[in-house]
Amino acid sequence: MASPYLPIREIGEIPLVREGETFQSITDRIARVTEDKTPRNWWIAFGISLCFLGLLGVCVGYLLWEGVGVWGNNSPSYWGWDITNFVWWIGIGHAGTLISAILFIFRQKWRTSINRFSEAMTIFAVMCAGLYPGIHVGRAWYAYYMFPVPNQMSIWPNFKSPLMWDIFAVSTYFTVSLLFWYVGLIPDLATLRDRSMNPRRQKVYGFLALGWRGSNRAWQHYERAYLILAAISTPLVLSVHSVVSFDFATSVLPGWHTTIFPPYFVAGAVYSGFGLVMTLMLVARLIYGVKSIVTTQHLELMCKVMLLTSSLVGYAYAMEFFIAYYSGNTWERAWAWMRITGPYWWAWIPMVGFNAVLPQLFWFKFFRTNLAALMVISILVNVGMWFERFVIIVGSTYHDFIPGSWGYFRPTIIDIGTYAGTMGLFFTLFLLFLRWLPMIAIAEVKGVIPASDPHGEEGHEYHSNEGGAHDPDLEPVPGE
Amino acid sequence: MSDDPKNKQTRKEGLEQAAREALERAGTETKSPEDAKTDPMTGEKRKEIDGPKLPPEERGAAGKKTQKLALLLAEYPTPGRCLHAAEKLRAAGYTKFDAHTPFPVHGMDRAMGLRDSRLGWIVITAALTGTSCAFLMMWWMNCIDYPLIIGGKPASVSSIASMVPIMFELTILFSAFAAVFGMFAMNKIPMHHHPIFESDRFRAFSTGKFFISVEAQDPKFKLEKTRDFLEKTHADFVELVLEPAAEHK
Repeated sequence: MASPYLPIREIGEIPLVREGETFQSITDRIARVTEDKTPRNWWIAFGISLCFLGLLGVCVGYLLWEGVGVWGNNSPSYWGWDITNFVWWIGIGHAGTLISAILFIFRQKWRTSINRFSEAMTIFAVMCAGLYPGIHVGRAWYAYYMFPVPNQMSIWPNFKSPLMWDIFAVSTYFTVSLLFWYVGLIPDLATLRDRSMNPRRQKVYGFLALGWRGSNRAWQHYERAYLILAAISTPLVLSVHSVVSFDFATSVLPGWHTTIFPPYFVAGAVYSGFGLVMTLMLVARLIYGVKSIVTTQHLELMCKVMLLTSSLVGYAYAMEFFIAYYSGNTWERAWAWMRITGPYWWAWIPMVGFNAVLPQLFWFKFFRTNLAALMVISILVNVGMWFERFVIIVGSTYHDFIPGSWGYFRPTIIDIGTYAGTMGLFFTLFLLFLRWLPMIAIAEVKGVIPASDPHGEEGHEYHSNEGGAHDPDLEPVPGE
Repeated sequence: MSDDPKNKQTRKEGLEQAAREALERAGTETKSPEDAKTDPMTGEKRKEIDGPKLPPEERGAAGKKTQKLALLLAEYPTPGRCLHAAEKLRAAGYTKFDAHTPFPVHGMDRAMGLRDSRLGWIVITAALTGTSCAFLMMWWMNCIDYPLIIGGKPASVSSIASMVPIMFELTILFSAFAAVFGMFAMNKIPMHHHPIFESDRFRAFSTGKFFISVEAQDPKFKLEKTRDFLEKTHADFVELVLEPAAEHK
């Protein structure tokens, strides 16, 4: 019978992992990264990242000391790079949850090679994002006003504000992503524990593996917990960027006050996240030689997701302009016209160029399989998405209703330093993750190679040797 | 994930029937002691059969006398063999046995006769608690304790629409905690001191070997009989695991 594990060659499916990989070789390949001597390139990259992390410390320290005036934010653009970066980082995180939750629900087994990686990316990106709301409030020591804790004014947060929704959405998102990631790590931490000969590694990984014994009674609850986490993360990830878009959409500002924002933001978030997963994956493939597990096929499938989400984003751009025209509203038409011809035209060009036009190259197999092209495009995707957030935030606030209050936003050196610093935070954490944790979900990848099928060829031979204990009811139900 | 309820009964009966037959055949196949040492598939000599043949009380190894039996551990090279061994153990009436595999093996739940996980019930309870907590929190804070009228929306239940996002988020948050910690509780983890870790070979479970453990507490457990039984399931290796000595001082 056709096994649910094997690729259907008739329709052109090829194995998810290069043929010839065994349980042992997969374990070795992935676990060895954490066991071998740290490559010199890792130290170089880590050193650079630490410098940028230091820059973040300096910039945030100066901001807290001096006040938000050190940034370029001023009337009429009270939101500048801070919220642009917040939305950009949190959007990047969305691809991780999409890969770990939504693709899991749809039984897209190719996700197993990239999900650990992108979940880590999610967590670190949300950490970078979460920094901004805390520091942009001006007096950061009052940031606890954002949480419903009793305070000396005996007043509670205003729960009708979308900014409050945002607090709950982002903190829930971070917590759930972290739990999901850790649950996925437990069996792999056990693998590292069992392979280890070094007592200190045994103790640390053993502690984190919680005494996992791969027991089927435990796998049963584990798989159910994983399924439930995937099922609840799916609406969660859609809600998070929708809620982020409510920060804009529930205001009355032209360019913000639009109903298309939630799906438009979610599509853009997934798009930019896949871009960053692609960039990081290409680098990891180069450094750590995991090409047989993360194959060109994986990269191609990611390109297709990016093509889809890029087209959705392009449609949203077009629809915004159409509604601005169709509404007949003076201010709506004004912002649309100013976007193309106004002083920020130079931000609009990369936004449309990199988000809606460039990924159309992915219609061609040449670009989906050319690693150099993928590297360039995947970086430009995130450049484009950063400009999208900048255009939405600054491009809608610098020209408001009264010409007398129009202004022009210019970032300061501290703005730029803070942004570069969050990159340092992200890459420092990411490099530590690559060094100390299995970057690919070992147990999950084992589950998609043909040898993992208990009813595979060997099982059948074995059955017939035994003389007919075989019962069709024992066969796995396809798609189960 | 779940069975069609119509098929459940017949499938279960079919499984038991098949497993009984398998057991009978396995029982007749290897009668002679010579057979027990050769692999019935290939006729080759078994790789290794290790561990004490006699109960530890009679082994004469002083100091180990007080150690209690913990479990018998059988090792298999493939998920298929492990699955069939589980089927046979279940058909033979063993209840306290388990499979230890590097990844969840397809069909193992059914082979072991496990009922569906009840985790979902814990999660739905937590989910509804989350929804209610979020509503009660916002209603009490913004409508009762310090009424806030903002954007023309009244400080009453009628402005529930603005409470929906946070009610949703807390539903998810509570569910996630319940799913993870409920799973921990049902699996009794963290637990770092299981006797199975006394076996050195067992370390391979997380790489690519498949194990079946039968606990000594199982009412059907008889050292010799169970060991022979496991050997006949085409195990590469059968090992007796004792409780760690320190626990019985």
